[in-house]
Amino acid sequence: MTPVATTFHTPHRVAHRHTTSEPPVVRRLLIGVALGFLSLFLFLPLVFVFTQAFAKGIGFYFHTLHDPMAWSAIKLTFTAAVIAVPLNCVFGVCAAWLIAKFDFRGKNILLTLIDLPFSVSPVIAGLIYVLVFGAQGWLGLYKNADNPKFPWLANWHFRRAGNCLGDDFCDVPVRRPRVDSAHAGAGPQRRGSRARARRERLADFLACDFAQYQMGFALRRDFMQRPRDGRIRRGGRRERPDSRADQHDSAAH
Amino acid sequence: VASDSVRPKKIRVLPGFKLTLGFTVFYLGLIVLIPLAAVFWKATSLTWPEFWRTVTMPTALASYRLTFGASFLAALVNAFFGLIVAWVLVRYEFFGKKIVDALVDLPFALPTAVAGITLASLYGQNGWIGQLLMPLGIKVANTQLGIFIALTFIGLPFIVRTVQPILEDLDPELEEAASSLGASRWQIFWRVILPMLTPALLTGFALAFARALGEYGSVIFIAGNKPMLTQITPVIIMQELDMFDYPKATAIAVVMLVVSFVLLLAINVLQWWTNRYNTTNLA
Repeated sequence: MTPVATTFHTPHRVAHRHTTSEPPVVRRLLIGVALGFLSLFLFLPLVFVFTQAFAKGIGFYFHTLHDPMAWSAIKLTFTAAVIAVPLNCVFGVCAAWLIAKFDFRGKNILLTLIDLPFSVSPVIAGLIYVLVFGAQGWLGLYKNADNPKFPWLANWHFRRAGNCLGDDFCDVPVRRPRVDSAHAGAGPQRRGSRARARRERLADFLACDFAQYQMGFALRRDFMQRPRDGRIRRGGRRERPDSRADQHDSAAH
Repeated sequence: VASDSVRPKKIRVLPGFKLTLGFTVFYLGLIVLIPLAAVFWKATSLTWPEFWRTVTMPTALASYRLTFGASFLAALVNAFFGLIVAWVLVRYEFFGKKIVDALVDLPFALPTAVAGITLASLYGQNGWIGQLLMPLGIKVANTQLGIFIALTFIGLPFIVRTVQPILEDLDPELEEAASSLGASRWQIFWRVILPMLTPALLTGFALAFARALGEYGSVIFIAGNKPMLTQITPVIIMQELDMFDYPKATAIAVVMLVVSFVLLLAINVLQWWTNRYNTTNLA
């Protein structure tokens, strides 16, 4: 770099700060509004939860935890989650691969169906499983619930299947997008030329994609919607990296 | 449609199209589609006039109005404040920013029932905020205002988390170019930044709206569930279920389902459309 370039740098940076930020008054006002809104709707409820939980002392709090009913509820919640989350991980990887790497007719419909559980009311989610597995349901698994022979089945249905399916249902869309965007970031071009892609696909899958899945999972697993690394979360997002890759390819040939 | 036959058949280089499509559709069918089909199947046990009568009974109509109105308003308020929150989190430095950033996801992670109980007691007569609002004659708990607040609470992360990454990726050169052409800061925001944020903002809005429509746990505790006044649609379904009137419950569920599906489809088409628009523009 010539000295000219370095001297040019300083006014550029000054200009940058000047034109790409707001006056301090506006800045403070916006921070104030944001924090005000958040504290009213977010922080206050959060603080309130904890003060309420510990209002009667820490001893009472742990006493409540020892209640067998509370304990079994916690155990059930965890069991259901432990069954539902891996299932959805497998589904999520599959669906994400499909959506990020391929274009096909009806993709929008499929995306919408995958997203559907997210907006369906939990009440309806419960209702549909009752309709399928309930006494008058299609599968009617516990028709004989009052028959002493089958209490375990009824039990199983409600405790395991019902809860797992319910959990599953609610988890489906949460799982997918993160991996989806990891996929989209990877893009098909990462995996070298077309001929090589076929030969090395397993190795590449493990090396390149799997690492990205793990990232996707790590970020997703806590049910957070944080598409940090790009546009939003849908298949369409893939178009930018792709088109860039195409240009790159044609330039190389 | 005619151009399809002309277009050469695409060769897929990557493996697993059939496998992933098969498994995705299978799993989706098992977990989502078959159970959802059960709703439609159950609804057919009603005759058409019966179905229509159930769906348009006064309490149901009032609940649609309330559910849609409150959800829409909450999403709107969230879009406005969520944009400011995202903006502040991306562009400014202030004390506790990291904590604030982490806490934005809270409504998403918190069980809705916990959120509902907390909000109800917070805004109730003896709650911290309820106490302050009482002398002003504003009642939140057991009113429509309470429903609005609960829906705002659960919808917040969607706007912030859809707008934030776009705002982070925004090329500062665009703003510099606008400024070098003589645009004021406000003009830059209004004419350059906001149009680029609009797709994300719309998506976030639609997500928050869709989520609010189906919300149950956080609303029932603060709403009071007075018929015709503070009864949201999922509560109506729940009531019918409690009376073991499954066909009636499913009839109303069908309405909700169709609306959610249409709404989500609109989001997906919108995203597809705006992404196309962006690529052609930026290329």
